[in-house]
Amino acid sequence: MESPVTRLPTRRRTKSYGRSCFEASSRFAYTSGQLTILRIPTTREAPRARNIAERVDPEQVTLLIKNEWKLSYVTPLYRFRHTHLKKYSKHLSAFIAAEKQQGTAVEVGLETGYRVTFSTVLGIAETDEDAETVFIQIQSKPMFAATGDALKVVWSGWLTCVNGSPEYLHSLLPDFVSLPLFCSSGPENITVVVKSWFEKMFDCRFGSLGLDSTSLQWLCALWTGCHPDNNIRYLRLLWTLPTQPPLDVSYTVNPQDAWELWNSVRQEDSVDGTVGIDEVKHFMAGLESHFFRHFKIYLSSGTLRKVSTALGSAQQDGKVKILCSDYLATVLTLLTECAILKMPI
Amino acid sequence: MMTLSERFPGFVRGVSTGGSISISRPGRDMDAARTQGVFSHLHLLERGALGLIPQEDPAQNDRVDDLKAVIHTLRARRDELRVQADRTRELRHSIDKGDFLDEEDYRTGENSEIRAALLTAKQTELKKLLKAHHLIGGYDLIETQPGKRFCVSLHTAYEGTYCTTYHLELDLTRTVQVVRHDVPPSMPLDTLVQQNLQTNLPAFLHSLSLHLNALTSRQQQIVLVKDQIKSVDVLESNQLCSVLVLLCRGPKQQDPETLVTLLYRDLTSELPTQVTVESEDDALPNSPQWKKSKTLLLDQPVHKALEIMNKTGVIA
Amino acid sequence: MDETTRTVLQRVVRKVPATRLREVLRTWGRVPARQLDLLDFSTSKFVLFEDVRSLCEVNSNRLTLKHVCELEMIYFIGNPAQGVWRACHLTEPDDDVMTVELRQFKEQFKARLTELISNVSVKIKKHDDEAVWIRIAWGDHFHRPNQLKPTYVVHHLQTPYVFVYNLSTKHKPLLYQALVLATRHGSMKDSHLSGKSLTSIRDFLMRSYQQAFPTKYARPLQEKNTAPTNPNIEKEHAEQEEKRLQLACEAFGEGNVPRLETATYKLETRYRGSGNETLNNREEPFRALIKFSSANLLVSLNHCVSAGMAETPVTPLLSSITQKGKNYFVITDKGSGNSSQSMVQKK
Repeated sequence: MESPVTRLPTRRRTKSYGRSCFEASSRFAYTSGQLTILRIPTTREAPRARNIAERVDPEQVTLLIKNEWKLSYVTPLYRFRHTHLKKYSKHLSAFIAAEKQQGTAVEVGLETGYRVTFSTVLGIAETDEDAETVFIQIQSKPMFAATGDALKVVWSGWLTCVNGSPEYLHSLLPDFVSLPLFCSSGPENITVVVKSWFEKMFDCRFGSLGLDSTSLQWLCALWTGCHPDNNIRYLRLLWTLPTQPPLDVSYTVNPQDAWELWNSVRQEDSVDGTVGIDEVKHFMAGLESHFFRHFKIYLSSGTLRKVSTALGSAQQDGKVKILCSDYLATVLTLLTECAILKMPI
Repeated sequence: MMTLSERFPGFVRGVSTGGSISISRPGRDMDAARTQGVFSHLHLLERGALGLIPQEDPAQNDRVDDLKAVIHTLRARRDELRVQADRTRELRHSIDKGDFLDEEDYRTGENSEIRAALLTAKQTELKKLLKAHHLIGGYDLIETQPGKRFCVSLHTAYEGTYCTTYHLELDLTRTVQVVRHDVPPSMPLDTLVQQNLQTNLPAFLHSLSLHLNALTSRQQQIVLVKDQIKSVDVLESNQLCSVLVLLCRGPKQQDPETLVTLLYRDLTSELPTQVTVESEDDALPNSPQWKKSKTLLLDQPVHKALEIMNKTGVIA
Repeated sequence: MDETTRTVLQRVVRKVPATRLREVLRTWGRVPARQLDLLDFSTSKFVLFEDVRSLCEVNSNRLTLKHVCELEMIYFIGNPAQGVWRACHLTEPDDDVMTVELRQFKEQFKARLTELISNVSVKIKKHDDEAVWIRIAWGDHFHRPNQLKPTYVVHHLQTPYVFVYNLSTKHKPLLYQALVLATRHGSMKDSHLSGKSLTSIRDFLMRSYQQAFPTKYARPLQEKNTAPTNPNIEKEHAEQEEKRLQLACEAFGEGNVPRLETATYKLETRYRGSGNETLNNREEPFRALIKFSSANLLVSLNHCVSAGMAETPVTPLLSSITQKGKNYFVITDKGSGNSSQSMVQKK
């Protein structure tokens, strides 16, 4: 049976709901003063399991993989210094307190105050150009806390850059630090306050970062490729078709079968540790055409909304969960790249 | 052997009946002569010669004028009717063609009566045709996949009103199979399929149609009971309407309540096969009037039986 | 009022929305309507419960667990959409299956169930003229029946349909056996149909919704404001659209269809995607689980087909939902190496 999924790029039906499979392969972007062309890579390094605990403080790693993170991009920070983190902690605490006094944003229960901690997570950065990751934790001091009570973490977030595009990083003017990917977890009103503090302090801008279907497909393929080393347990894809009411299709594939399909689309000449976009697209087409053979429904008429395995999950609306630290670098490289591409001027 | 009159009817009749013809006007007599033979003609001439045929008189002229006036009015009436007939024919034609919703005519109200009458006539005619079609065992068939599948519609009616229409899609590729249908699932469709579907399609459709029509009748009866007989409560029934439990009250306040259970084991019938009557008063079910009512309930559709029971004072 | 009665009453008062509580209590009839009118239903549930409790104690000095369970049933019957209902099917009917009536069923069911399990409390209530509602609180040799997590069963007498809410696998065989005996059937099995709305799965299973069948008369197309294009193309499009709509309606019903939320397919078929020799030659099935979900699944699927997001004719896998009255399927190949599929029910 011929499936339309594979022929989609070459032939279009009369009525197409699909987005084209290949999104714009390049994008113009301005960085401070200099025009560069950023390319979406057509190949990536195949993920290799690495025990990150050898390089990064395991306690800090658990902070990163515990939560579901909401992604944003941040434009380069002006005069940000990793050596001034203590000062920033105090500043931000005061800023939140002031905001609370104004009654504008922060109102979370009966807390009397917040303690903000900035810290550097060393070892996440992959290249010399990558700035070190900065982790921010906000704890609340309950009104009637006994002296021995642990502070409650109410919000956490981090700024990172992993394998940031060298062209981009080189084009930055001096005094700018690029940590393009911002991940946050906690009440939205605190996120708003933190963002506005950063914007005031470092003359930067935040914007929401969604993941397009190509990024989700990349993650889907990269995670599946990890299966022999690290059981993915399942590969689950979620599409939403634009029917009235919307139709959600969840497609869960047995991990071994998913890996065998992935393995069968891997090209002979690419076994040298890289993965090509063609392979990713073939893999997706293979999954979709098996589905089509049974249900005669064009998944391409809908939107890929979520990809998940036991190693992590990622959603179209920019929510990401990293459940296995071994492939932290692979995922963060991809997300850093998305953040840089999404960034305006 | 043939008789003479059989062989020459005109001749013999002329001979035998000639003398008894009553003659009033010559023209007609001449015609009669032409058709009735020589003897009668001679007889006529003889009477003419003897002056037996009356002459025109002045009084007769008045009568002619009167008659002429009559003719005139009748002609006018005829023309009127002719116009009306033409118009009716035209309307009828347009109705047959289907473009009877001419708004212009509706607005002016012209011909509205004829139009309505014609439409009613047309409707009656079509209904009769449809009924005849179903009576002779006609079913509405539509081929859904040429040579492979078709869809049958089975109509049900109660007391001259169409009720639910049921459908079956049948596949003929190898053996006859029911692909899908909207027959209520408690209907013993599988049994009917096993009995007749492969061997005798018309018989299958007939028995199914009987079942469905009986179901419709039972359903409608329950609707009518709920609607018309306020003193009776429907306590229990089911999808097939094969069980009906009714709570009946006596006409007087202090009368005990009665529980009437109707069982319809024959699913092709609209009448129950068993009636049970229970009451707090043990003697009541065996009273002559309730015995009579039981027979009534077995013989009549339940709403009618209850109506009679209500009129005869068995129930309120 | 004993402790359990109190707890059950408290739970009912908490669960029922304040706006509906008065009506539910009125239907219950244990508190005079006059006194109900004096209650302030806008206060907190805590206060309200105390008020209701004292009213109950004043009016009926021996308010028992039975009465309170009845109150719960009244609310539950009026609002059955609170969790997942599963449909079951009674099979192998005895000859006298049509003669089963309510009183007899009540006695038989209670008798059979108490024979099977010692500590169980059963309450049966006839709702309208068709459905029988059963509330079962299960216990065991050492525990009194747990009134806080009752199982609800809805059965339509003289039909093979049973709908079950909150039944544990432990109690399943007991309930099945009691029902089979009380309704004069040979056995009972899962229908592989579940949903949040009892009314919907009932209507769906009993086919009391509008199904579309081909007619001699064209279905009127809804008017749309589209930009004028080539009339020929338009005509062809309209014809195709009409055809798709007809097929979609035939497969998924039309108009006000029962509300199903999900359909699940466990695929155990061989891989047959295009252009992948390695996997096409593989003997083992490609295992996947597909779950369709929507606020109203049949409407979504209908739209999916009629709008051209799916190819026509509608695949038997999808049309089986309405044709077989199920929403859980296990799909396997008919024998190895055969491309055609058969549906195999999960044991």
